[in-house]
Amino acid sequence: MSREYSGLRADRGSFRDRGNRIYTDGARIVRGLDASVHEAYRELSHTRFFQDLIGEGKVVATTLMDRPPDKALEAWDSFLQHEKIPFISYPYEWSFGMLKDAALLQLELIERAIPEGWTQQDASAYNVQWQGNKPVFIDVPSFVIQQDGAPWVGYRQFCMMFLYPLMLQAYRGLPFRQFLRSQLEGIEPIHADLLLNGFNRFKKGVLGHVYLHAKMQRRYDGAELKEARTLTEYSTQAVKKKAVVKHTRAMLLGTLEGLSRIVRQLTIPNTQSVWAEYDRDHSYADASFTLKRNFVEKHASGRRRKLVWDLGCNTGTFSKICAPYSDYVVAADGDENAIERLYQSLKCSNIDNILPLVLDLGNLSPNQGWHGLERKAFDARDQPDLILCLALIHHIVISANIPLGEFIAWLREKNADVILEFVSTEDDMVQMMLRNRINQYAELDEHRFEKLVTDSFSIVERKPLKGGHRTLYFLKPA
Amino acid sequence: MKHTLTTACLLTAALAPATVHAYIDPGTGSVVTTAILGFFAAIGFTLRRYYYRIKDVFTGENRAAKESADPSTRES
Repeated sequence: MSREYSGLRADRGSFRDRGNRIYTDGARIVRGLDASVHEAYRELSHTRFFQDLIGEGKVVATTLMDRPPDKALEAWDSFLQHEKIPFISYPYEWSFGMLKDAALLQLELIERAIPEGWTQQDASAYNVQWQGNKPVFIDVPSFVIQQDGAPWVGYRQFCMMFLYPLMLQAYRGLPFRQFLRSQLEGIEPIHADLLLNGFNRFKKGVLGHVYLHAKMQRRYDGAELKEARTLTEYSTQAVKKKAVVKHTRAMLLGTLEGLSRIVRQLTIPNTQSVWAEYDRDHSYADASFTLKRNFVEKHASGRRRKLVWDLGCNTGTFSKICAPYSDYVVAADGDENAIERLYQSLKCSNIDNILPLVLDLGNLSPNQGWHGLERKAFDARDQPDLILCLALIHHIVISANIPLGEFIAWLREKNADVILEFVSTEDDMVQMMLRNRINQYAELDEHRFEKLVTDSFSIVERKPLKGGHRTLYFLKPA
Repeated sequence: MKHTLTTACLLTAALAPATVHAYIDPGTGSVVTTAILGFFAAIGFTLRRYYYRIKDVFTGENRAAKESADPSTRES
């Protein structure tokens, strides 16, 4: 992916609302508006709640800008420029706490908009992004004037994208990411009802927001099907007008307040995972751990980097070491508990440039959605300058069964510096992993590794660790 | 916020029809669900606001206004 200027191009994930569209040239985020959306924005920008939300950093910083010269934007009436989100992420990469905080932000925005006569026309989880550990709402034209008596149209979307995923994990222990990754619109009320049945129906919020919601959906879907059957070519019957029950402001605010209470009370048990206590339970002696820290700090601080990926970050010890020397660090691990701990620890710290993500490195988030381009693959979003792969290689090669050569080739594609901790088959952790497997991993040999890696990288520094069973490398693309 | 505090408003206005226009379909079943849940939520919402007002008179706080301005300060 090139960072050279190539003009503003339409973002492939921004097309659902025909009144506006996002364009980017990699550096700027520009939104084209039609006349009606421009008029709405003009009014919105004068409201107290919107100005407050921008000031608090809860809505992305936005300003009107002059017409860009780019031909692609000539159809639009006016333009907004948004502050760039350092790294786009999706709800199926967030930990439980992250989705919960994003849900609370979504509810708060509407609760603050309604008293001033505004609402939001959707409640998509993709409208929330992250600046470090702070959720930020990015879809400014989602704010629309509240029509008298109109319901909250985003309710269904909120349930599908926020409430049900959180409930499934909190009440049933089912990780929500697998649902959100395969169903980009979220979990249907009927499906949530099937998963939250039996005694789960008596858990907070389920009876109303899941059971009743699903029951109503079944009833009205059935009625619509019946109506469709009567609308034959020879029928004189017209499509029935939809009559909607009028919603008072108290009904809207009461519902939002109730949802907010439910979401706040959703928690997951503080389950122990192997790596969640990494800070304390790692397999290094103090001297080795200090050596590793110093090695990482030395090479991370060599020059300021725009974007660092810490792959297999555990609870983010080394992401935090890189943070002062980098604009932004994406800290990714397949273990949700470790990422949740990192997220919660970042919330209590003053570090604001680490984005924790739950990622299975053997099965990275793919390009998907409309045309396979609506939601981008993890490694197609931006180019890192430095990649950390500390004590990761044995998980890739043994646990995920990915050949070492293929992993190195994937790293090389990123054209970034790499700090890699090589783990040989003599290492205790590897021995444990091999207990129930055939050892087909002869490639986990230091000499073979060096032979492979020097085809595409040059080794700048190497340092043995843990009695020589592990080695730290600083690699530069050859 | 004054008119949200009138119980009569929430009980009577709920029956008049209103149209919805959005680029996403809110779903008829979902709208009916919010109407049913919203009816009860509105009663709770209204009673809570009255309760806070009465409580604020004795404590000297202004919790009702504070929560309306910034819902994130609300206790769960």
